[in-house]
Amino acid sequence: MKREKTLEEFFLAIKPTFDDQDKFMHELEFRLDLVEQFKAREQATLRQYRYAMVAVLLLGTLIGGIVSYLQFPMSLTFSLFRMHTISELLPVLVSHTGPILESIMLMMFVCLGMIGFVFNILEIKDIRAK
Amino acid sequence: MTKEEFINRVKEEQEELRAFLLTLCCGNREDAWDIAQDSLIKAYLSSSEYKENGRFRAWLFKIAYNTFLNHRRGNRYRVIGIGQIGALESQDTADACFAYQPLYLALRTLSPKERSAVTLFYLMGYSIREISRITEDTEDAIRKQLSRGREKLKERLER
Repeated sequence: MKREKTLEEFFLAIKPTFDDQDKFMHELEFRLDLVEQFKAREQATLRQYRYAMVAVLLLGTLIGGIVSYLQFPMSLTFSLFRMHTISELLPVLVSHTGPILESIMLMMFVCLGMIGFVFNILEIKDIRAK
Repeated sequence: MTKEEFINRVKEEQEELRAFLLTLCCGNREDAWDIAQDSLIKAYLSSSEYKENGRFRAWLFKIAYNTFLNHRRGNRYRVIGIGQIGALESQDTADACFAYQPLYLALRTLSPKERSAVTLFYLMGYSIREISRITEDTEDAIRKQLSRGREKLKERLER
């Protein structure tokens, strides 16, 4: 497609120039700084949540394990020691694994809730401070 | 691309980018400024997707073009009939230096796609293939937009 000479000249004649280039770049740099700050803040929050999830996992397992151990009837512990074959041991263990896992999961959720609550309070304080 | 690298490259291209947007906005400097800023922020956020192939300007134009269309969808610009042009000459929003330029007024009668095609072709000197890459329309569609745009402009400018 050929370029229409008249139109081309018309367009070139009105091609705008800008005497506020520094101002434009200054505003852009300011906005980019804000973007960088936002990205850094987002990454920090993400990192905090990852640490929190690891803490929840460890804490939940630990507390859940302790709770299960305390709930484990002593008579069963003794009876487990008296069992010598896997076929004797497995049904007893399987029947008791459910409650143990349940306690661990429950504790994980409790810890997650607590940590989530603390994080939200901290974030609200942070927002108010700003 | 680091922030400093991005800024340095934008410094070289900003005048062309702003001229392109100012023409698309028919001389409205305020809107052109805002769209240029938004486009550059978007470009910075997606700068990891930019592959170094010497087409930085075209890449920026593509983002600016899409940002312009998005802004327009927010009802900020409208295409008008030729008969309504007279009323525009009193608008406060148009840039003082260019408000009465016949070309800007004539450009207002074009659809955004026709306006973009005509601006990229005549003001920026891009080929049809390059315009097709920027606007993601087919080359045939660009030819039609150019042809229609040119006819409308000629009709208006020859008055």
